[in-house]
Amino acid sequence: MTPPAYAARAPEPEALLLQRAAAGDGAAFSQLARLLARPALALATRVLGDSASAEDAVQEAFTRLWREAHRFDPERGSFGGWWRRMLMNIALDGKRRVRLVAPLDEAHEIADPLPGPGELAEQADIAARVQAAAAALPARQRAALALFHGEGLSMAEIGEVLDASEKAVEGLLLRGRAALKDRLKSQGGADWIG
Amino acid sequence: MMTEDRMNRNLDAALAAWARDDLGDDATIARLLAHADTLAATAPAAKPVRRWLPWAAGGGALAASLAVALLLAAPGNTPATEPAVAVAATPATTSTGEQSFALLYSPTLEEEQYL
Repeated sequence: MTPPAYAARAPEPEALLLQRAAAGDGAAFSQLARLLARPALALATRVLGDSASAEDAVQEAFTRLWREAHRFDPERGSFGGWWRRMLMNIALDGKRRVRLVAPLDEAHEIADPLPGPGELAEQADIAARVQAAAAALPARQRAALALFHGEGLSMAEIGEVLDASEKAVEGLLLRGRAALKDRLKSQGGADWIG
Repeated sequence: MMTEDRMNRNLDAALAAWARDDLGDDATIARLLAHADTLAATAPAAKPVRRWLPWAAGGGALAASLAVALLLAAPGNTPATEPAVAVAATPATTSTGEQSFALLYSPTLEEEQYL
């Protein structure tokens, strides 16, 4: 039997900080929050569809992280998986109302290309369209897509975060992708996907 | 005409751009970090609790209760009842004449044992 993949890895810096935080080291917790805040906010915003709910979710996740720091066991899995699971549980717990439709003109501002080649403007337009189309997907499909394409997680890792089997994750990704494609086509101006 | 493969690649690229886009503005990040700093400064992280302790305490209490119940239920350990002689000792004031005299001057069974 082969040892789990994480057993051979060096301890993650986040995990070491969390261990210090669990022992009451507030400075370590502040440092950990600085590492986690931006990616966590980006992930939560993609899943929840609006930045106010995402901020609320990340804030709650930080509170839970501080209170439950002692519960993390590096022998049972990576810090990244544990933290994402905590964040997604909070984001998808049903208390937060997911914004079902984000009109195109209200979609999050995509990194504004500097005045320049038309290609950059086209990319920004595509990104805004994808953002608006993704906002109409069910939250779990959106979460699976964000974790797969953004965080680069495997099916198994996404399954761990979303508490679902690999097969179920595969279904979420396929349905999410198909729905996204249909929505982009119905918006018009999506020649780039046929 | 665009091929299916090309369309999929385009969609993958668009999804990757969407999923990796940095959506957090600095003001929001600053608020989140201030919250984290407040947590770190005011509330201590929960210390690990000995989870077996409440179970052990509960189990001990249960075992003690059972032991007491068994002890009381054992024959020969029933609480002593009032001695039978006490029934005979009716107050003299309620009797009249000879009855009172007999009660006063007739030794009870208990008193006879010492005679």
